[in-house]
Amino acid sequence: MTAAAAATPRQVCPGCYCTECFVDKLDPMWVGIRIAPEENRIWHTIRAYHLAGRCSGCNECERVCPVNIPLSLLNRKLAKDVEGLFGFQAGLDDKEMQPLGAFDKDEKLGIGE
Amino acid sequence: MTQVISKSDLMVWLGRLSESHRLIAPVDEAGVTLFQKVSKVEDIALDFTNTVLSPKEWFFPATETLFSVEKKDGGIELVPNEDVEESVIFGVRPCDALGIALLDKPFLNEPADALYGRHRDKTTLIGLSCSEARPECFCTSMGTAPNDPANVDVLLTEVADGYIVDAVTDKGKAIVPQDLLKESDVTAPPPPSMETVPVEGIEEAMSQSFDDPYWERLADRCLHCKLCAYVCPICYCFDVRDYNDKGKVQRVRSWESCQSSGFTTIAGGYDRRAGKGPHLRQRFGHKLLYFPREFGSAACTGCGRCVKVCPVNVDIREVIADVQDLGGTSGQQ
Repeated sequence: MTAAAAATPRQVCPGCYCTECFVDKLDPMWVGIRIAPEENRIWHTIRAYHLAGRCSGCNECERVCPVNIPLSLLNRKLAKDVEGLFGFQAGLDDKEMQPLGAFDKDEKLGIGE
Repeated sequence: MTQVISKSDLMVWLGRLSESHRLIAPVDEAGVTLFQKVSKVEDIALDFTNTVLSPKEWFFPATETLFSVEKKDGGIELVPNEDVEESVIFGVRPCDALGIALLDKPFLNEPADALYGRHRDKTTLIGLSCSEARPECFCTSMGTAPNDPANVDVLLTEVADGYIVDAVTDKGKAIVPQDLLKESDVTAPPPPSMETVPVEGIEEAMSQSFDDPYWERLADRCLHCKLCAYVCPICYCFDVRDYNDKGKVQRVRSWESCQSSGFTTIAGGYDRRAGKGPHLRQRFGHKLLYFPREFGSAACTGCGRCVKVCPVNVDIREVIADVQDLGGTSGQQ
């Protein structure tokens, strides 16, 4: 998926709120114009960090995809990891901060330490 | 009398073509039909209305290296991309064949695009008449028809016991297998009918409605996702960038769209089409006003793909009808 094609899931995504998406930045250009694995990787990595713990599973990204890419597989993987690591499920409690949106100096995940 | 090839002999012919050429044909994959390179003819989908993406990607790929820069004898050499194979595309619908003919106008008018020209010279098109129209089809309003042989090299039309073979051009005659054809008095079925779109005088109506608030209203729901441009058989805007992969520098072009933010921004930051309305108007302006002024016909084939994929139902047929009804508010550009 090119930067340009990446526009579709973000535009229909209720979780996306940036006034200017990083894929639209031209200077510096975060995601190149090519269809190439490295461009896909940066788009999906940043999307994953933005949506982990926030994706509510509305599946709109999958609905609009004209070539049937099963994006919900990625979304469910994000939800599973967030539940495993933080015991958090998106969309159940509007008071609780999402794990990747909050910082607690005492939190220890037992990974990377 | 017409020449007919049986369904089993069609497979024999395609098998031969796959050995002598790069054969590209519709293939079903994960529930979508796309033009792909075929090595086994059994993979070819014959029962399809049309593909999700048009065959334009085989002439103007979504990403393509224009040339690479190589160091040679202490200097620098620009090496053009000449990696273009002799190809046959099977199963091109008349609307998409018109799309390729329209792409020729910007790409082959001087100064011609050499790489596009190489793809075009080395490709033979085998068209396939449509036996049914999709709900979004309106090709008969855009100057072609479900059985139009005008822009293909060979046209096949399905009949009860095979396909009528009509070799249209010399390129087509060169690949038609005379040994597999039989004379027959079978006649082609009538082409499917479809709705008509009021395109008569649309250029003037577009010009008159340039500043109409209609465009802001229409753009209200547009997501600027650009799917319409990617599935369009004619949208041909591109961006060009240089990439340096471990010392190998390549100049690459990729599909772009007028619906990208920044597409119409010029040096210094001024945007000629700033705002959602002017941004979306640019898409229809190019198709129905600027392209016709430059090249003499609308940049739309009536394939209906943009109508089908739009997540928010922006429908070019409705836009054409709406603009005709506006009656002209402020003439400009």
